[in-house]
Amino acid sequence: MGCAELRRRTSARVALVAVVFASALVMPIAEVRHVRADDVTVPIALQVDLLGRAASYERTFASHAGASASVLVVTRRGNAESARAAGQIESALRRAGTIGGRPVQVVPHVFTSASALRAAVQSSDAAIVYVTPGLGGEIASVAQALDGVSVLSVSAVSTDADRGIVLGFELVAARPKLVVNLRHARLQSVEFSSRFLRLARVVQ
Amino acid sequence: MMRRRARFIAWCIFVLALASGPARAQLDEATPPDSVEPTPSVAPLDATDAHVDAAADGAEAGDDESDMNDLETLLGEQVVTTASRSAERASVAPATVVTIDGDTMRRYGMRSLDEALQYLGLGISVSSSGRDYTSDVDTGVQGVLLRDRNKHVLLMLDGHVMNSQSNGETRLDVALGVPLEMIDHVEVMLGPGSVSYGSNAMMAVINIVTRRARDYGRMRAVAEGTLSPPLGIHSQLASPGGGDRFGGRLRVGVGFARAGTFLGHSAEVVVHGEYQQEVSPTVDVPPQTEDRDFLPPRTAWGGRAQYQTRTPSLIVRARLGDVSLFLQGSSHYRETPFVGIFDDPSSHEHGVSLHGELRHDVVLSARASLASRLYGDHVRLEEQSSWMRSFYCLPGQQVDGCNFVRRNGSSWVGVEEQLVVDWNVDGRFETTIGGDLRFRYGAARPADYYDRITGDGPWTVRLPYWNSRSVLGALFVQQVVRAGDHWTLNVGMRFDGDSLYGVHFSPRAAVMYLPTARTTIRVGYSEAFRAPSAQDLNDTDPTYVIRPTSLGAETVRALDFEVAQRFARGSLSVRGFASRFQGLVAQRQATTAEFDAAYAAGGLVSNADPLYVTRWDNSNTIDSVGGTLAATFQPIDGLEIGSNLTLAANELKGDGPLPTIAHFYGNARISYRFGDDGPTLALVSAVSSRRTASTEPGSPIPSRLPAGPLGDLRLVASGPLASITGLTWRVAVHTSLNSRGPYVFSAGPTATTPTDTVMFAPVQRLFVFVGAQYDLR
Repeated sequence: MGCAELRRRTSARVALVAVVFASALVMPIAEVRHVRADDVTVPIALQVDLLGRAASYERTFASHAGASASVLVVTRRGNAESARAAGQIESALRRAGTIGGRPVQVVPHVFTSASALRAAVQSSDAAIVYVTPGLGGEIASVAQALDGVSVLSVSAVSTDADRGIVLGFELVAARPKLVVNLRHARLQSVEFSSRFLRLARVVQ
Repeated sequence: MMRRRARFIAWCIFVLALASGPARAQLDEATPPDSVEPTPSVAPLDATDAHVDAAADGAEAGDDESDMNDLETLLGEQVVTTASRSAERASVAPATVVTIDGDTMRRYGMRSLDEALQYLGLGISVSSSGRDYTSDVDTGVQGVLLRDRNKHVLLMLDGHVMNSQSNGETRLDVALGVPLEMIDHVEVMLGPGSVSYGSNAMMAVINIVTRRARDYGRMRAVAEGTLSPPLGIHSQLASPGGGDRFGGRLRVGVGFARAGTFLGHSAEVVVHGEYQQEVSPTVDVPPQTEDRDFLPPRTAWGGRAQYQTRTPSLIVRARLGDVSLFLQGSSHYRETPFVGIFDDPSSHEHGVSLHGELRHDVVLSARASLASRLYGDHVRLEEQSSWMRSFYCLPGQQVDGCNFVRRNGSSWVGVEEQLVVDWNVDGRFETTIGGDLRFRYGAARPADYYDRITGDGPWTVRLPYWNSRSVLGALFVQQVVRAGDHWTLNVGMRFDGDSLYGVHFSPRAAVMYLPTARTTIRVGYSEAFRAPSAQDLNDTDPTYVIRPTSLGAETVRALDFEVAQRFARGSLSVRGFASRFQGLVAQRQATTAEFDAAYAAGGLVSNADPLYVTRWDNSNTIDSVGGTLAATFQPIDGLEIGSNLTLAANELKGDGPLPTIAHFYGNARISYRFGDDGPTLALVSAVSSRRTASTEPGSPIPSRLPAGPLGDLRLVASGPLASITGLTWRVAVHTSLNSRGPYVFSAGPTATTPTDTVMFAPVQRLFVFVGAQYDLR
């Protein structure tokens, strides 16, 4: 077999690979049913550890929490990723036992509307609202609904702090990074120390 | 000898481990209380936000220094994916994973992956032979270096295997074709990784993680130029003029990224293209006549030479909802003036690679998630050189000489599924199972010889050709058990079935104990293998290589132990390892019976010299034992100090030379950033102890010449340009403190060649580079 034949055969295989890829591109897009809009980049257990430390630097946390810290874990019904994150959050919180020096109490909440969530926060006297993946486009309305409520909102999704959740976690160069939405922190009476803020990416 | 070295290294590791305790206390104490004061960047927040003001004064929450240290320690912990195929804290990963991020690479003036591994990596020794086509850049890991184009290191791009499936080779230098601006970070897993990735993952697994759209920015453009002075005899710096010329390297790249919503799904795309070209400085080589080829008017192999490289590359990363796509393509052309006839302009290597993958991630239920990958790749390499001496050419080509051409191409497609089950939805008992099915095609003309003048092929010798179709199937399973807050157990196994040679089983078990949140003690045992590739099984050359009748898998068994301590502003890791590589494929001299049989079958030509005819065989065993020490420390804002050191001893049992690697090697770095937005000054060095210089594989040079100790220094300044938002710059000066590279060109005078001189591969003694990058956010 000559050089030309080798190249011809190789080119044919390149074409075959291209066809396979083109076909493969079309198929999954047509079959997508789940929308993975929400990225959990920082492992949940690490998020909970960070949250435990972050609560120590929230000046009003002690007054919000009272004797025990209620954490409202918000899930989306029927969303597997949300259920998975909620399970891991609850497990990690229970293992931690305390948060910000207060015994932790986990309160599950299935999201139906932003107003219902606000009511649940107020009725449960929650100190922390922990939002799981799956709320997608509802994040802005959740943030709006929590305006004026003294609660620390936290999201497992890296981009939610940019959309109004007070505290988020993102991965930068393989290391976790805190993200604080300062505007909504103010609206929710959350006061982080300056020492804490210098370690975070601050969204104004 | 080996035992003495092993004992010495064990003592060193023991002493270092003892030292780590006090060092920890000192590091904690060394963190000054005022080092966590608000920096200028948060000052505007203080001025505008009453809440921060209120918190900043008086008895604010979290004033406890230990709380702050704990938080900083947590924020310093790396999240890695390479060791277990899913995201986890590095502290509970079943193997040591070192992360080098893109910003650090830029800060310390790195220009390619191999430089980053050498100057910022742990346990890895990289050296450039600067000469032959067999291996331009050699990578040694934990005391073992094999000159084989990295067949024993598995390279991945976003988890996608890049090693050629017909020969196992991969490139870590500029030929890799992954622009630095696309690299978010690089994870280097030390030790065997076949339990997760199968063949080739014997010494290390290197996973390049590319940037996502939001980390890349909207648009990015980069231009960098390197200037290096000419090299005289023995790599002495020379002045330009009289034929001596400067060399230069140009790197330009541009790309864009977009993120948003498309067809109701979140979507993002990142595209980056790059072009690199290098014209080396002129290099003066002292004349050599021993087994050397040259053309008149030269009277010896040697003189003045120069080479060029050209490397365009493109990478595309896209995501739509659950589906992500990545494509990478590159071409690398490199002239090889020291191969064959000296400074022959036709001597070169040219590689082309195309890699693509479509991935689908879905969470099936609260307990289970599934990742599916469909991938396809094509890699081909052509090498050409010209030779004059009869020994190197076929009968009938002795008058004009011959052109030698080696071509190898490989294409493969496959599908991989990975199911992760979190049984209790708490991350405490997690099972990963998966499988990989890969169809491979390889073809090669391993030794084409043409008349150098006429280009005619040989009339009487059939030139070798092979093609190979094969199937690889693999099943893997991994179980992670996290017991309480202190113990993590990770056990796994992978079963590979390869139609080319048979089956192989790769187990791994690791226990991680965290006595405190900051301390990890890890003990692990793992095995890995490299399946004989189609090229290994079919390689032949009628002048000196006999096709092997059969080859088995190369294997490695490794035991490693690590104590790692994390601090608020630093980390310290002390490791020990012991590895046994068995059945390593090496070229050995053919026996008389093998020579006769090959000659009778027409596999060897009439001028083949029995003394130099070889065949590949599973003949070598290497034992390696040693330890590593890694430390980073950030005592004040903006200052970073770090070092990675390796001490190792190895011993070869078998035929052929053991490619050399220093017993002690490592790197050290320091950088300081002036203010939050000011310039950064960085100094980085790579060092290695004296070692025996390496000859090229199959070389007749019977040399055991010492080289080193070796040392390289790079001083880098970088920072933003205040007048133009988004524009950054960097300037670097690099110098090599040695004129002797660790590769031998000539062992010096012999009885028949009294005028030859000892010569080592040229070393780029000095270069400066200047670069600018524009990021549009």
